[in-house]
Amino acid sequence: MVGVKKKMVTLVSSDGVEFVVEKRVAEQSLFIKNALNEGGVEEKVMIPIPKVTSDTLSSVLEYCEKHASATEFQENEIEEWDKEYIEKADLDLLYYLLQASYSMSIMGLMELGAKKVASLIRGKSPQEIRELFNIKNDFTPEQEEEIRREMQWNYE
Amino acid sequence: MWNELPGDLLAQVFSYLSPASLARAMSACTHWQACARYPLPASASHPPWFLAVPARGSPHCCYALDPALQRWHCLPLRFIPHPIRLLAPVGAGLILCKLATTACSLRLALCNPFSKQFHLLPSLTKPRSNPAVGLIPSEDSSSFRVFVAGGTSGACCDEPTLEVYDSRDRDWRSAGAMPVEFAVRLTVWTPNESVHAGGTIYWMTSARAYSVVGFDVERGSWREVRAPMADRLEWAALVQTRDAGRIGLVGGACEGEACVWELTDGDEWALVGEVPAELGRRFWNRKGSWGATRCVGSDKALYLFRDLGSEVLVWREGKRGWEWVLVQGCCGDGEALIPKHNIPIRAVLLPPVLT
Repeated sequence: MVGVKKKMVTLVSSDGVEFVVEKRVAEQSLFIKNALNEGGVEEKVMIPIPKVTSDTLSSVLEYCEKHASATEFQENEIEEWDKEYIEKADLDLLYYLLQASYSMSIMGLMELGAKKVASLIRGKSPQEIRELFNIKNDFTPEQEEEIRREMQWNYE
Repeated sequence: MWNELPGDLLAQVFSYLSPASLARAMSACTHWQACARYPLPASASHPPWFLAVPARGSPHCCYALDPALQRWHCLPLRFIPHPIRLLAPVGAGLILCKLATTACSLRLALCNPFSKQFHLLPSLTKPRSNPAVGLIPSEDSSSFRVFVAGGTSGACCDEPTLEVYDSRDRDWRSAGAMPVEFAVRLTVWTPNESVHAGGTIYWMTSARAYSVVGFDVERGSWREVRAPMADRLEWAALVQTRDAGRIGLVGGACEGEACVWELTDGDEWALVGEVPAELGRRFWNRKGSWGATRCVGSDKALYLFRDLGSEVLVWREGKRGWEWVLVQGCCGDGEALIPKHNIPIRAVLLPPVLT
């Protein structure tokens, strides 16, 4: 709409890149929403987002943009969109998205990421899980033996 | 990297895993193992597993059906020093069972076959054989009470009294007398399976014509409700139902036929479901086999079963509403093949909790 000025905020990633976004998009994050309310400032707000790099933040904002503009009538469409969005994230990005959604309090994104990680774990053996996620097996041989015994019912 | 994910986040991820997958994930590293023991977020709601224990002899295993994958697992019971019989699910992965020892008096215990926990409850205040046992959780599910009613003491004297175990006190106390007519009926007839709804514990008398005995634990009052089609039912069982405030009754009047009723407020039975004829024919595939039918239920599903090797008939919520499905019986326990058809079982529905 001509003449109506959208309220904008500036987010600064941990590596110093500035993102200027609409307030309603940024407010998808409860962390930012609270920060804005507390500050009581209307314009030219700069909010540092610690621990989230520019690569990750740009992907997070893509999610927020979509969800801020979706109406309740588009549930199916947004579900499809979410699916594609999380599908194209590689394992590293998935990790950083989860971390960012957690620190920025974006519940929808956290749920989406967590579901995706769960789907990668599903059906895999402990060793396959370690290989996929590059996790070091830090159990002692005795602990491992105990787990093997306890979980025997699950290794048929 | 992934082994440093904050515990809350990992717990969120784990909440979407089935118990079997979770068990494997927690074997990946110590951090994941520790996080898997976090209390799960409220979003986690897995359908309970069907856990069956042979009803005779000294079972060395119990058998758990994962309903999502329709897969059976064999869980060793060797960590329990006595043979057990299943009574009721307690919640948080625990089941109430009784010891099948040669001693006459009832002795109860709690166990979790997934995490291999076992503790004996203290002895009853009065030794009893064959009393009715009922379990009722507190409203917020943080504790539970076990009621033991009737039974015989000493040289077959009826014991028309009640006693109660409260998980907060961890001990038994006497809960007074009970009407003799109920004590006698429970002693003689009860198959020891109880269900609860709205502060009342219900038992089914085990002989025809069926009727249901209810004990209101707050008021201490007893009542009897006639079963639907009582004089015609050939078999019947009480179950927890989809509606947590009500109890259900499953039964059949002739071969290959079974109905599900719910007890409404005015002590009337409302018909809520019926086994489709074709599935009924397949489930009760042998003449007279309906006599051995047993049933367990929860708000999420209802299971009809006969013995370990036979198929299980499940009524559950599917994509298009409630549906009946046949699930294959358990056919092996890893050590020996199970002789088909001839191991009678008792079962409970239990959310598998690994901690």
